Amino acid sequence: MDMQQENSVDRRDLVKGGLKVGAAAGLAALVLGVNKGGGTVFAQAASPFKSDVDVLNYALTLEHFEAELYRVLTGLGKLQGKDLQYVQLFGMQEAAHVSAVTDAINKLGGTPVKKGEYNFAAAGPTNTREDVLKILATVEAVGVSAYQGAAGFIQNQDILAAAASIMEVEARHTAIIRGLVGLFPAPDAFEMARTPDEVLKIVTPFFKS
Amino acid sequence: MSEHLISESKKGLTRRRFLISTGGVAGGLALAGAGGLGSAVIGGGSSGRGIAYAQALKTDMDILQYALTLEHLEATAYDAANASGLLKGTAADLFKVFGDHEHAHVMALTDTIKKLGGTPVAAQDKYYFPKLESQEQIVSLFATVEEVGASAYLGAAPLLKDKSLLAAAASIANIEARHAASFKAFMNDPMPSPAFAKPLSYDQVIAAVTPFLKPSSAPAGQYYTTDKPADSLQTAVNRVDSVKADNLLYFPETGHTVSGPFLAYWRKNGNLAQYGYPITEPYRGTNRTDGKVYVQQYFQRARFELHPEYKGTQYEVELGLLGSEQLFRDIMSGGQPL
Repeated sequence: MDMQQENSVDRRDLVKGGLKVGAAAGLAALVLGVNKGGGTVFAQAASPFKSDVDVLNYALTLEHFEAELYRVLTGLGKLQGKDLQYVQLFGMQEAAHVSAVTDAINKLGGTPVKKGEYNFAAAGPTNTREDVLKILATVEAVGVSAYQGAAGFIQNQDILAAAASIMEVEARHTAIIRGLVGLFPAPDAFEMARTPDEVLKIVTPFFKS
Repeated sequence: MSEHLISESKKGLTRRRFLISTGGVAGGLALAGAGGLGSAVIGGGSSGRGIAYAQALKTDMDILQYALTLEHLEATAYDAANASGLLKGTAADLFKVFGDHEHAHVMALTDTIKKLGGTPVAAQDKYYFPKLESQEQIVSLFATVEEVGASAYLGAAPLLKDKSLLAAAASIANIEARHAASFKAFMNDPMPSPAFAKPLSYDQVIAAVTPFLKPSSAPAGQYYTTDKPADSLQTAVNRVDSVKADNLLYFPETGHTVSGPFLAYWRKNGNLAQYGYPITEPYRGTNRTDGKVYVQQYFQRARFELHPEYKGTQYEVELGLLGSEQLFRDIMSGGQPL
């Protein structure tokens, strides 16, 4: 109950704050369409997404953010050697996700959300390689859980297969970056899913209003 | 296919029936699953070309059984790796926890299949893994095994009609992906993750894992010994050169030999009438009761276990607790009290 109230407040704040139209379109769709009881029981829950394009725009919103986060954090010069090699690679892969999802939305006749303006300071300090890697590990984990929580709402099987293929890559990124920073790469037997509401709550501070 | 599968209650046979009877059909009936937007999405320079959705996976139950088949294989493979004594430090930590994950996946899938009214496929009695020789080799092998597992989920999960099952499958798939990536990073692979993970069709996965499931295609020198008569005969011939004939018996009925302390025990305690023929060569395997590794040999009605710590006493050879082990498996595969 509390969680729902908190989420409602978040949603109001988000709408009131007037997110950049481009970046927020995917999230805004959630804000408007989200079902309060919406959870991971897809069969029963009303979908927070009106269409597969909405799901893809939700994904694209996160992919834009991830790609930009990688770009900015890599540019800080805190990473070297294997850290840098892997993080650069993953940054390029996030950029590839952006263009693939954008492409898919275009082909479905939708309007892909654009890159937004981000408040990376919300991620906390970025003074050391540990700082940088921990931010990336956290954001990647949110990305995996977001895909996992949204995948069940995708109607088209081909789109679902494509989303799953990206989802697994986010899981790989998470594991590897955790390993780089000395965290166990896969502590749990089952990956956690997050509802769009939960994801929204986490990422909102990163979007400039 | 799944009704057929469910009606088969004999373990082992069930799996073989599942794999073999479906495998041949699937190739010809593959449907073009992702010719359109899916491949457009993942087509950006990646190897993702769309999945050939095999006829073998017609129902959600088929897919769950397929997943369980692979999880059994993985869980057993981790047991073997963990028992090998070859893994140290970080690798040992990874294998221990990942092995627990695979067992958790087995339990979850078994449970789900039962709740849906199915009979979960059981683990095979034997798998045919390559001989485990070094940490490096094991990590490399498991990177491949996990890669196949993750790709199998990717190929099959989108076919699930029940969205709750899809969510569950995704939560497992991502862990397999994490495992695969962890091993690649451990090996300092310059490309530890692709930009787009590649799905494998049922046919491709079965082709990849068949060497672990069937003796006929197993390479020489398995961790678990093969039951191929030809191999055993060769083993016997080799041993005859070095072992006195009276300390080795070869049984053409099953193509296996009995020698050393096992032969002494067999002769002294009832031999053929009591234990039947040997059905494996001696091999190093995990005792599921205490989790330790012993040299073991299966007979038709017994499992012998060598305990060097009791050498020279009547306990040097002990009998495995087959009844307990079988009961556990029966319960795990849905056996109910009357």
